[in-house]
Amino acid sequence: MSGTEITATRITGRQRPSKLLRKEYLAFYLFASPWLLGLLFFTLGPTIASFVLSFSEYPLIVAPTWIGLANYANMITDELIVQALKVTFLYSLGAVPLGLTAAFLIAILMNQGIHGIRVFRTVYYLPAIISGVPVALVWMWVLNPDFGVLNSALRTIGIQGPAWLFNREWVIPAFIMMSLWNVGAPMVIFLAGLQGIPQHLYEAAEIDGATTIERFFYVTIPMMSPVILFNLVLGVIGSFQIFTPAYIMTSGGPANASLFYGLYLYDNAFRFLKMGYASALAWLMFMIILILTLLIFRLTGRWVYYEGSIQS
Amino acid sequence: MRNQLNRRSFLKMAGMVTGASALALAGCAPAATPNTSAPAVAATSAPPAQQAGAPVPALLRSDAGEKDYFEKAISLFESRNPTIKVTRVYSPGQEPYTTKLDLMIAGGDPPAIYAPFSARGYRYYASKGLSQPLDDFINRDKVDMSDFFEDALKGCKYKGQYMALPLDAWPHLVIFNRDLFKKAGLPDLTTDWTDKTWDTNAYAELAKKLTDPATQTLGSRIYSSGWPAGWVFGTDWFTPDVYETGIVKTWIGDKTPQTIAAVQWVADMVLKDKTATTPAQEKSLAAANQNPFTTGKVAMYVGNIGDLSTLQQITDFDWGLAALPFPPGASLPRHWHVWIDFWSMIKGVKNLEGAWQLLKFMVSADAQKIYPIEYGPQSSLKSLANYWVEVQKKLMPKKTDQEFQTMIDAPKNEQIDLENWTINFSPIQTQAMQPMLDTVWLGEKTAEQAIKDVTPKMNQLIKDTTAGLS
Repeated sequence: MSGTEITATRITGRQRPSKLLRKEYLAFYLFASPWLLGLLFFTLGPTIASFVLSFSEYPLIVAPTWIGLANYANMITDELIVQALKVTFLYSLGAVPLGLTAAFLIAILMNQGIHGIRVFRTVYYLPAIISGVPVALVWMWVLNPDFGVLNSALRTIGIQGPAWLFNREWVIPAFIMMSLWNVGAPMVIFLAGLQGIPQHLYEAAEIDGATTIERFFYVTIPMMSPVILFNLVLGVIGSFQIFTPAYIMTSGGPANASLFYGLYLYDNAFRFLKMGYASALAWLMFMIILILTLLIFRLTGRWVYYEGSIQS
Repeated sequence: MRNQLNRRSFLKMAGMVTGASALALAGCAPAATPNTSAPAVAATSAPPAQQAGAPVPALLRSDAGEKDYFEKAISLFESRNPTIKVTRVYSPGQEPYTTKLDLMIAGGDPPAIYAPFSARGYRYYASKGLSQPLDDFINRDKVDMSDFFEDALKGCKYKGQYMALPLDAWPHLVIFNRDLFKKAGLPDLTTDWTDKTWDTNAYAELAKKLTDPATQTLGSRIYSSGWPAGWVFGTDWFTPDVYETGIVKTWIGDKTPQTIAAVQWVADMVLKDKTATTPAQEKSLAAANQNPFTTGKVAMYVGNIGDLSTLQQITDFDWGLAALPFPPGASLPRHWHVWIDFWSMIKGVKNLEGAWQLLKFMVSADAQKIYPIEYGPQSSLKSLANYWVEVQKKLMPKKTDQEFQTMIDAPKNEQIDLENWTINFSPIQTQAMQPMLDTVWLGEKTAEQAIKDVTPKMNQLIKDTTAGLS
């Protein structure tokens, strides 16, 4: 080693952080430790455990037995996985675009400078703070074929509504319709995005003679594209994880027509105590969501506009 | 800046965190023991040394006011056994109860005694080596086994050993709207369990007579939208050994014409005759814990004795109780179920003697006078039949002696059910049986076609779920 190299090493070598910096480190880890410990024990830990368990037969009440790739091999011949994936994809295909469109349109309405707009915003957001079992029970009444609000309304215009949750064809559309209940959360994000669009862009477009529709398509949509992407990704992930409504409202019926993937996973884990198989199912779901998310990022690269980013 | 977290440091830190996490989890998880079915409780540690004064944890159900009665019974036990302290663990019934039980076992802190109540039964746990045999205790303390219903006791044995004792009986009966019967000029239904003219043909005919679209009155609730539908004509889905062994081994649904015909009969009442409620109506009302019969628009149904507390609140119309109908022409004996629950013990508890004393007390006459009798259902002890009548007469003063006799005789005319006593019925029911029945109720398939179509799946599930069971 030459003398020049030795000098260079000494200069760029590891230096002891100053006392102040060490204090800052300590403070950082101290304040972040509740979250870090939570991540370690309640997220990362179970994630690793589920991966290991996916290679075992584990009926929960007895010790797990290593079975290698058998759980993954069994998934190939499990026809209910195909049904569960079909149901979940169908739901996702309906619920995500519908939810995004509805949230975006409501956000545009909520972005108008009219009197009492704050009240409207609160009203539209309110349903999103109630979720889970109570919502499922309320919707069971709404969708009741005989005396539910929906079918009663349809009857007044001469339409005999379907049995919704008890009809093979209508059960997924019913869940898609129900997903609109949670439109408040993406709506708020859209609203924040809309309020962040610089006003001068609209003024410039107006001076150039752009109509309202043109301003919407050539200013609002491009400026909102990162927010749309964000809500799209969250929507897809959320739609694949749907569980509570199906568990409460249909238990996967009728005839497995609403057997969502999450419900099938739960059944295997806690009803049939096939914890190893359920872990393998969870990892399959993780991979599907990961691939879909990556696919969305790749496909959306062309139309998502980031202000200030350098386009190659 | 030199002191920023670079990629290498981050990866190093992430590796350390992951390693620590894996180690922590390895410590928490039950030890992997290849090719063994050792209980999780035993796998983590040696069986605990017996501690006479150790508390006895009891997993109890807390549905619809039951908690008060369990509390009362256990307090009585504690007052008589001051050296035994019972730790009460309450859980909602059905699935949450078994999940709680499973998690307590998996966590190495199982209850000493438990009663699953219409969900995964004790035989499932016995098949995993988790149940404490009771024979030695029963013999030592000379427990009078002759007082329990014989059929229930049969179900309490696993591989020839008593692993549980019955705690209650919830038989089924026909419940009818007396006012609607009178209005239609029809006599009351029979209370006589031996009356062979009272069969399913007569039931279907009555349902037609009592159905009136003008007043939106239906003759019946759906006879059953679940697996008991296959029992209506006196036959079964599986070979009879299932009730002895607790293992579903042989599917015969496709080879039993009466089972197929029974399912079709139930479907026809709903879809063809339109004399019974649809599964859609039933499920939507069940979600709100509503019984369609209480609306006064349903003339009769096969109900459970557990419905009595709701029926007692009806003031708009008079209702009566009757025996279940025979299969068509009474050509076969009835095949219907009485729900019977049981107490069982988990192996390896700290205070085994205390746990046994508690279990023995909970099935005794003193405890059964509180739960189940004060709560509503019948006792598993034959000697308490009259006491149950005394209690119920105060609540239902209008009911006749014959009606009470019908209720007392019901358990003798019914048999233990599948789900509470069978190790592998739950996955079969969820994955094959109910989806198949749904296709019939939806009118998509005939019973014959649906049962034929489900047969390969059924056989495969039986094969999968009986692996390792004998």
